[in-house]
Amino acid sequence: MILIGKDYKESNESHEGVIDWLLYRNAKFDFLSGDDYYENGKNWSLEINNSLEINKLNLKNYNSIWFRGFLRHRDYLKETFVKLESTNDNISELRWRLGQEISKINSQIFNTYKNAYQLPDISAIKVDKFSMLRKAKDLDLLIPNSLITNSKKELLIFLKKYKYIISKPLYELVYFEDKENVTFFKTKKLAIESFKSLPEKFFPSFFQKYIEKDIELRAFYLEGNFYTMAIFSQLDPQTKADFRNYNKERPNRNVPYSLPEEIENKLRILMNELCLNTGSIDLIKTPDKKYVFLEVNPTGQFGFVSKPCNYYLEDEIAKELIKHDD
Amino acid sequence: MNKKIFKLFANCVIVKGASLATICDLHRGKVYSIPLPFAQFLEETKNKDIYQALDKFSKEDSETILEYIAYLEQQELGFWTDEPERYPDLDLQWKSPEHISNAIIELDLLSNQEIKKITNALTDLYCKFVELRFYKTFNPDSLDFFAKNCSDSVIRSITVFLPYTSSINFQEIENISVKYPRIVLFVIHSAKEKYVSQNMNNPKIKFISRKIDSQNHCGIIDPKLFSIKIPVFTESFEHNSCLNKKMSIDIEGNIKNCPSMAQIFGNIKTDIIEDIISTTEFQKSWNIHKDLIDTCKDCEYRRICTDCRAYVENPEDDYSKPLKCGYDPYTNQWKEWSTNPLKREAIKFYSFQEFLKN
Repeated sequence: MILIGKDYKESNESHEGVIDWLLYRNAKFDFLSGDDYYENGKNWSLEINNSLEINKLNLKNYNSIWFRGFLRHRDYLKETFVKLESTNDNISELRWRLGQEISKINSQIFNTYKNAYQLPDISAIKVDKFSMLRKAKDLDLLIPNSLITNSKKELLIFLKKYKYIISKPLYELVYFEDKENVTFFKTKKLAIESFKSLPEKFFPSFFQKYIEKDIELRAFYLEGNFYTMAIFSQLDPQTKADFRNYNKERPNRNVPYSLPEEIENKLRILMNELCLNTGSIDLIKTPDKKYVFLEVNPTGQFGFVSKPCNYYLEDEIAKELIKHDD
Repeated sequence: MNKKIFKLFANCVIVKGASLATICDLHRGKVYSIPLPFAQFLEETKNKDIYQALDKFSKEDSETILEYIAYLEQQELGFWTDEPERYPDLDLQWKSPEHISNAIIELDLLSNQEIKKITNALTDLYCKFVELRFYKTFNPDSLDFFAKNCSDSVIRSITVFLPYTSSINFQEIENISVKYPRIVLFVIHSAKEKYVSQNMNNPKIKFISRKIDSQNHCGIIDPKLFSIKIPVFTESFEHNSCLNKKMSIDIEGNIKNCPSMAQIFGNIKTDIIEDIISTTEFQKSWNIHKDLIDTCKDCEYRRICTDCRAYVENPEDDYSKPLKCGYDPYTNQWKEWSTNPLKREAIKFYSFQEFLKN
């Protein structure tokens, strides 16, 4: 049997696509979400004593696991936090502590599946961008020159060297919402004017040299195979720095792309070293035909690659899960 | 400029007809007509130096070709490159994870027991899109029963056609619309003009003045109905773009390919839907694709056109051209199909004359 780990609260078209193929191919599968352990009130326990381990997680035997997510911390105990009266410090400390507890509990729940096939390996998905870049560099993949600093002085030296830089979070992309607005942190090209008001010392942040693009590449990786798409983001000023500033009237051209074998080989080694059997790899191809590695998103979106390139990735994923369920 | 190879984007695909060609932009959903020789030229040079290829042409011709290419570039249908091998063609494979992808059900007279048979079958067959039709009377209880029994299905959307009558209860429709998010649209047909322009608070409710009281309204071939998308384009190579994986149940419970087609394969009162739709007889029309159909096989729109097997020019011939198509791919003229003298016999056969007067 197959298990799909996902956050019930998140609806996602690419997930539905895979589920359609699993149904069509007569696969048996269940869903699992953090909701099952933290919110819906079912009894469960994990006991360990000097002679044995007793698992009362109410789960069947699963041979094959597709991991797409589990729980969004901010959703947990939402009600309680609304009613809670305390100092902001206490509340944020409590939130953070709870988050830490949740992640420890989760890894114990996931430990149940340590012998099952996992797509991707649940313990490998939390890798940060700087470590990825370090590994990529060791494999002689080109990377954007990168900097973590808290110092305006260091930053200005870096900026002078590369003229244009970008800033992005080291962990996942975040967004914040309140009643009226949703704010996304997108990649933005920054020039010197942007830094005038910056204090001498600031929160340590991640900066990269802005790489001139010919095209952007998204390579969906699945068990050694690459399904790559070229994004012609440079034809449109609106999408030049970040193609996610979508132009709905005239969407960027997205077409199949075939990476040079040498790049694929290096990326394959990189994925092995990161213990990832799947992921969405971001690359830039520069005007002088160099391939620059940016990052891997282990549970990245794939529907937007699958559809315009007619790759049927949803079916490929379903087949992979079924193969390991025999 | 050092890039000398002009390539169409992989999802902008050339389709050649008898005397014109099209570029089907399957990404942005547009279709462009181009001269046949230019299509030929683009295909021959897709991985070659354009300027070398132009040497064979007169100065005047090569200027014309370059003007055309500039137009394609400006429309973002193609791009210059010196690495054509990095940009493979679109894989034209087609598959779909359902046994029946869409179903049209005439609900007017069906009992709950019959409806249950249908919803069970749609669930088992992984049907995605459902159109429910009420021609003369709308029965909200049947609709509610239908929608309730779809809860375990993978149905993505249900569209409901119902007639405007003096006893229509909008609150009831509103309630059903809120209760079942899968119902994406209510089309209230035979409505008075004053309603047609009126906007309901609920964007899921639309009025049309047209009377939909039988199946004859279907089958029209019109550029407005072209579907310029990868799944339609790729499906059309081996399958009928309208009937493939389609099923319909008519007002009497007959199981058909589509409500407008005469042939009956079984009836839900006596037969099992799943058995009927898996027979080769039922699926025969699924595989009548455009390359087999008279005239359509020479048409540059054949990969994006809807087709129709219910109303054809020669009703005796399975491979006859759709009756309600006014396009001639040999002269590239669009004409009104219903006044075409050559189609008179077929129109009589389908007894459309009354319908056309309305």
